[in-house]
Amino acid sequence: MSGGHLSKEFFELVKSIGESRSKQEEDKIIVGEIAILKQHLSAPNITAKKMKEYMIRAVYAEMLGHDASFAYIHAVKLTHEKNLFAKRIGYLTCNLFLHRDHELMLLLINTMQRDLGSANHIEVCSALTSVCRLVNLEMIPAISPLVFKLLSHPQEAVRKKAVVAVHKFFKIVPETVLDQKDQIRKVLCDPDPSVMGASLHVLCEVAKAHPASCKDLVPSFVSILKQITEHRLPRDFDYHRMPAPWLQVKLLSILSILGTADKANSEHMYEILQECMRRADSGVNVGYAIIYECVKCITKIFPDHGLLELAASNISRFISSENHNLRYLGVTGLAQIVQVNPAYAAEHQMVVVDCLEDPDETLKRKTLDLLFRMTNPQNVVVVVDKLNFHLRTSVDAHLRRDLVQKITSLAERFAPDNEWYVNTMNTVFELSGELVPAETAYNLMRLVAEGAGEDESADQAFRVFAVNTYLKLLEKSTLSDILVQVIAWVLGEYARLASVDGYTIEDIADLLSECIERPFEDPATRGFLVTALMKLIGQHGVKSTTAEDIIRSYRSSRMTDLQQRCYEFEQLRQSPAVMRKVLPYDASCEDIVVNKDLSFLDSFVRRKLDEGAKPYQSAVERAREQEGLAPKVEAELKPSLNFMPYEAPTKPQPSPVQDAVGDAGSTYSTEAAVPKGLNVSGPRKWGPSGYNQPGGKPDIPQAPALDLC
Amino acid sequence: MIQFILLISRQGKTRLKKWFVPCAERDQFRTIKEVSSLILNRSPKVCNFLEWRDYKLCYKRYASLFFIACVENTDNELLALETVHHFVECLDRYFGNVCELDLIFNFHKAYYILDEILISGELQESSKRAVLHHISEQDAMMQENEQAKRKG
Repeated sequence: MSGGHLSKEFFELVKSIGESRSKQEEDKIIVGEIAILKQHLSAPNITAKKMKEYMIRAVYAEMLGHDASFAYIHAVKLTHEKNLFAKRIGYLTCNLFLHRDHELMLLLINTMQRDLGSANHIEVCSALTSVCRLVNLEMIPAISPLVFKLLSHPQEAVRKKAVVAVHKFFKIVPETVLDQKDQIRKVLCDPDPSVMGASLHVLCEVAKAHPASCKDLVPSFVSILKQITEHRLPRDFDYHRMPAPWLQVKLLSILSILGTADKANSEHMYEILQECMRRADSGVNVGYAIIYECVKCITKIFPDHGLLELAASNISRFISSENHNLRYLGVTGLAQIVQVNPAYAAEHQMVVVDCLEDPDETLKRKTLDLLFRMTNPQNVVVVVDKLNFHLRTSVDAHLRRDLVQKITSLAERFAPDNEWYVNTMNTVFELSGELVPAETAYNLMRLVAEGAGEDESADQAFRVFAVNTYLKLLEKSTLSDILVQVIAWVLGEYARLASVDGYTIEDIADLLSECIERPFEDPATRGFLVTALMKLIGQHGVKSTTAEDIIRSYRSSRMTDLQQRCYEFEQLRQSPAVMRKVLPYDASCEDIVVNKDLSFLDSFVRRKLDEGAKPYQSAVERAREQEGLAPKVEAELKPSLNFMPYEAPTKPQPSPVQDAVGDAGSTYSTEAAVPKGLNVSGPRKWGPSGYNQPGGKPDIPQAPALDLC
Repeated sequence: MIQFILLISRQGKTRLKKWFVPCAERDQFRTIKEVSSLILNRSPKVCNFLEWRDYKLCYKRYASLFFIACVENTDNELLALETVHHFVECLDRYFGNVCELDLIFNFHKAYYILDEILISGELQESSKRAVLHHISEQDAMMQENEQAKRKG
């Protein structure tokens, strides 16, 4: 079987690639190959057989990561071939080379249209496979009528691929399919199970988008699932003795969509879910896949106690299994069950903690996810500790972002007290400040400013704690930007509460100004620090020697925001009284009154109007006026491509000239034809009876067509 | 829905790739590099799933080849593995005890088989017999075609 049908050249190529020892060597071979191919393809009159091989070689080159775009046009040309063999290779290579927005797609549409209407079902199938892969927005109007027609093709393979193409249409333009919903429902009753199965994918998408429109199908889905589990399908559909597992899983996922928060429909499903789980439990992997899908479905639909119990008992078998894949499913499934009812988590706590120690990275991540869902006010401290540990050790950016999100969410929801919250957030900021969204920092600042709001003295104590913590943190040499921003804000506002030994307000101001010189990633951080310094000087009249230097060096910063702050600082320093007023102590929670109506301008406006100024017009009114002045530009018709073939040329009809002459008694009367501008009464004209005399009318009317022949 | 299927040899060479979602050639190549290094470095004792970006990679090793399917986050991972296994079984039936060399020299055939099993990222034919029937029908028709041409 190995390569007997291949040319020597291709065989050598594959062999040398196989023997190459390094990526460089491989690259060199392929570059040579591409040069040869280009040369071959530029030759005239390549036979279909040769062309087929060149295409396969181009695919090979592209698979190894080289650009083979020079071959694309030939692949498209190959689809035009009459020869089926060449046509199929053409479609195959187009599928591999092109994508739906490729410019060459335009050249393919016509061929597709023709092949979709072909009498040979293999041609139709090839074209459909390409449609499924390559269809785009512009093609749908041209292709979809043909595809919908194929839904009732006598060959089941064609019907199936047509359904898949419809599925693809739905993903691009849902309306195309929603208009033909009855057709899709009809396919659900197709005598061939695999065609029916293909329709499930479409219906699943439809159900996802418009659940209400499919609710009436629930009994049908349940009965189909029942028939499958009862082994009513042909044996061909068994896989490892399990009847049509893919169809079962798809049906289950549709049911889970339709049963979400719908008690009446969910009740239809309870029995079959139980039955499905029981029958799937035959010890093969695909059976476990079905059970897992059942568990997912049970946790999504309206909950039933008995079923949840059953799901939990299956999951506990998975989670304590030796098989890593099953353990993974167990952990994932438990996370879903816990969302419905947290009570099921308790008995598995030890196993879950074991999974955390597993060397398997994937399992560990899933377990962290499960832990996150199992968290309650009692265990939050332990769980967050675990998550923090992984945040410290992990290097994967996706995982870290996920962890940061989880820790913040848990800390905000379940924090036992404010001190713990501040400490936890500080750890997160320290470990991966770059991943923390800005609003998390704002939440923290607000908490410091507003406190819990119940007890003023506790809030005050909390503020003291926060200030002291941040003061100590500021001593560290490397801090993330977001943490510095928080520190700067808190110290700027509440530095006077600091009660750490040996720190005066002057020391704090010095620390802050020292900090400004550190390298930062976010340019806004320096602004925070400058403002904090400004507040300290404004409120406490601190004599900072460094403030002058800072203003001088950052006045010419490239950051306009920082410049602005420095200039403001410089101005305010000259009048300490004003400074104290604009930078008050602990006033961040007070509302600033803004007069939105700008009523203080009323007198000014009135005066101007009296002086003859034009009254104000809103933007809308101005636009309307403009429009009224300018002539309305006709909305240009969007140029669109015409995919319909031109009408077939028709045989020229005999013109009225001959009619009038040869057949005076016909519908064309001489008088009627006159206004057309032709000399119809034409006196000198050769007719079948020879030269017609002007006005002379032949006795026998002759068929005018004869004149032309 | 399966996003893409990859076949990678133990040495990290691509044997087959198929994307079911639009993806630029350059990104495909980058993805292949990233994914293959992730998977080749995994120890054999861990589970066959891997979270990757917003997707999940389900992979399995058959002799010297890794079969990798990238699925969406909500998909059933175990079923994805079975889909891969189904593909392998079909290849095995078609080639008769399939080996890496068969796939190297006949990779267009492997693509045809894949096209019968997976269409737009969903398994469409769970019957091995039907898959092989379609393929052999196509083979026969093409052979007829060839012969007819030779005679004519």
